[in-house]
Amino acid sequence: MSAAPLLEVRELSLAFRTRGGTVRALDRVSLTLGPGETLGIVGESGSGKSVLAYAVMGLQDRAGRLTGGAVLWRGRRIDRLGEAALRRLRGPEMAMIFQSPRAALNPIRRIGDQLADVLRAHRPLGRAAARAEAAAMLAQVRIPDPAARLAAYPFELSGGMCQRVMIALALACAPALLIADEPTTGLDVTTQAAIMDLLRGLARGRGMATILITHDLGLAAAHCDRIAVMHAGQLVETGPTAAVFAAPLHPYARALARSVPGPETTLATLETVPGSLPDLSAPDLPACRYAGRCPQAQPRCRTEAPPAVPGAAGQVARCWNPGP
Amino acid sequence: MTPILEARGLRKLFPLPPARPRGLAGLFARGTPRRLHAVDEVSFALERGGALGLVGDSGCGKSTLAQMLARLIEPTAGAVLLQGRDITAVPAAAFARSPDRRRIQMVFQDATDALNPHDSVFRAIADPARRLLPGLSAQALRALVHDTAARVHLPPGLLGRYPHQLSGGQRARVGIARAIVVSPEVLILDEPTSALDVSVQAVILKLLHRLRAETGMTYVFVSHDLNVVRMLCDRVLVMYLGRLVEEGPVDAVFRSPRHPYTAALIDAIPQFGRPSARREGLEGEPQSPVNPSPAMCRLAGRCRHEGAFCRRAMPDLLPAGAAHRAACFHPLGG
Repeated sequence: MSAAPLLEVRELSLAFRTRGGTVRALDRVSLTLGPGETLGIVGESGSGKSVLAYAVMGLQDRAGRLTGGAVLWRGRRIDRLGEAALRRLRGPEMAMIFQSPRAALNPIRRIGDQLADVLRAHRPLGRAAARAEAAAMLAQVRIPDPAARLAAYPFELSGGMCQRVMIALALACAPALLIADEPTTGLDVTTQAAIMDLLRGLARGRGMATILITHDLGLAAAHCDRIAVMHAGQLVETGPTAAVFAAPLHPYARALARSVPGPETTLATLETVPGSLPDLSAPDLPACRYAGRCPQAQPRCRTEAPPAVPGAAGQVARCWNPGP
Repeated sequence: MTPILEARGLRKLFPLPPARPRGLAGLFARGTPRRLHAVDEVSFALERGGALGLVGDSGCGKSTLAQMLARLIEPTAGAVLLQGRDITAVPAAAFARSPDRRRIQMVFQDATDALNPHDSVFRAIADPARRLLPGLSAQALRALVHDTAARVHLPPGLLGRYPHQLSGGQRARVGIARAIVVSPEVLILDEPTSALDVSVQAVILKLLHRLRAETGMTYVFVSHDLNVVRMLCDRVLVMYLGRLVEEGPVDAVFRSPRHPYTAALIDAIPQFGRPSARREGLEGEPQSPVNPSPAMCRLAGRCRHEGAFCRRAMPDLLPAGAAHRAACFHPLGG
């Protein structure tokens, strides 16, 4: 890579202290993201996708603790910043949209006021100017009749419309990175397509980088430049979308890719992923956390951290026994 | 041959509080009655052993239709026929004790909500058998529950557990087991895999396919995932805002959809290597399902193929190929 990465996550580990023991939710996760790039983070529920995104934003809850590694934003460490410094970063540098847009919006405040709040928190704008700007933002996310919608409450809008408002809020300060955590889960397929097209169009137009977190591999494949596959808190494979889907190296990435029903899939060719996620609070987790489910596991998969193995098409897998 | 399951002009309208003028006048006005048209004039027939997929956006009425077919809620109008006999003649509450209850069963969307948290897996599966298969000895019941659990690949060791001790995939299996324990002829499945990860979904889909092959059960499979419907079903029914807009063999509907809404739905499936160049995207927001105009296509205002007629009359379902019907004045590929 020639240009300095926008975001670099270096060997990041994170643990939650719970009554049931310490849950090691992230285990030495590394990834980089360039300006304007779209990265899809995929994996089963419980694989640590959202935890990773929250950690990047410095949003982990109090039970969570970074136990190793670093997060670098434009080359500067941000994982030890205080809340005030993080707050200056969130908005103009990175922003996030969440899974249930209706829950993320304040139910008893009008859409226009919520947008104006964000604008005025970051920019010296008067009331009227903020209002005009808010209407312009709604127009940008293609909400019809934006000036009238400023007076609407979230419950008066459909799920798709609420997600558009969330996108408008997130983009208010023109961030360099947008993290979208399952932005279309719970929306209809047709609405999902419209939201994803909107996000992509806005990202392209602004040169904004995007991290798309999703359990829907089809969605990630259709909309991302690169894919990162997570399993049980470990990043098992990264690479260009085409490579990870067409020629995955890691046995888990391979099984996951083949378990997604596509237009040509039949029940006979549909694959299943054996076993289930290991208990992340177990004291004796294998070095590769897929070892217990992997048909190709060797004894050293349990004892030694797997090496990063590069593939022909630019993908990198962490595996002792990567397949073709 | 008499179809195993038939819907004749099924409607479900939910009454809403009437719209009244604001302020003091509202206290005295009677207000306009408002009714949400969840399912409107749906008719179709299903042959024994078939698998019918029911697709459409949320709020299109597919779950309401499924619940009417399963005889769980009362239709506002129309009838459901099980092998030619009108099962809507019996009120839904009484139907629960009728011998026909055993013949049509339902698997619910989220097994976590559908299972009683206080019941062990054994009880969850045994309960429908106790009610619907009277005269079963305790020993026979035990054997039946164990046998059913084995058919859905639930290890016997899990029978003593409670729902919260199970994984999502195991709960889905329990949901299926308690529906098939009474050997139904028709199984209505309402999004049985939508709460599951893809990896688990694949296992459950294979299981459902095998069960149908083994027993010859007839499936009605509600899903928003068209690829899943394509794999599991042989016919598909597409709904939009309560109306049946297209019905036909899965292959024909997917290869050459006739209704613009079906085309948009198929086009919206995210697919590798085909990002945003959509041909059939829908514009704008759907019409309101409350007191919709009876003389207008429900897709009007969102459709790129809209013509002069679309706002003057409701299109009828007309033949659009072999065993293929579509309700559109401007069918695609025609």
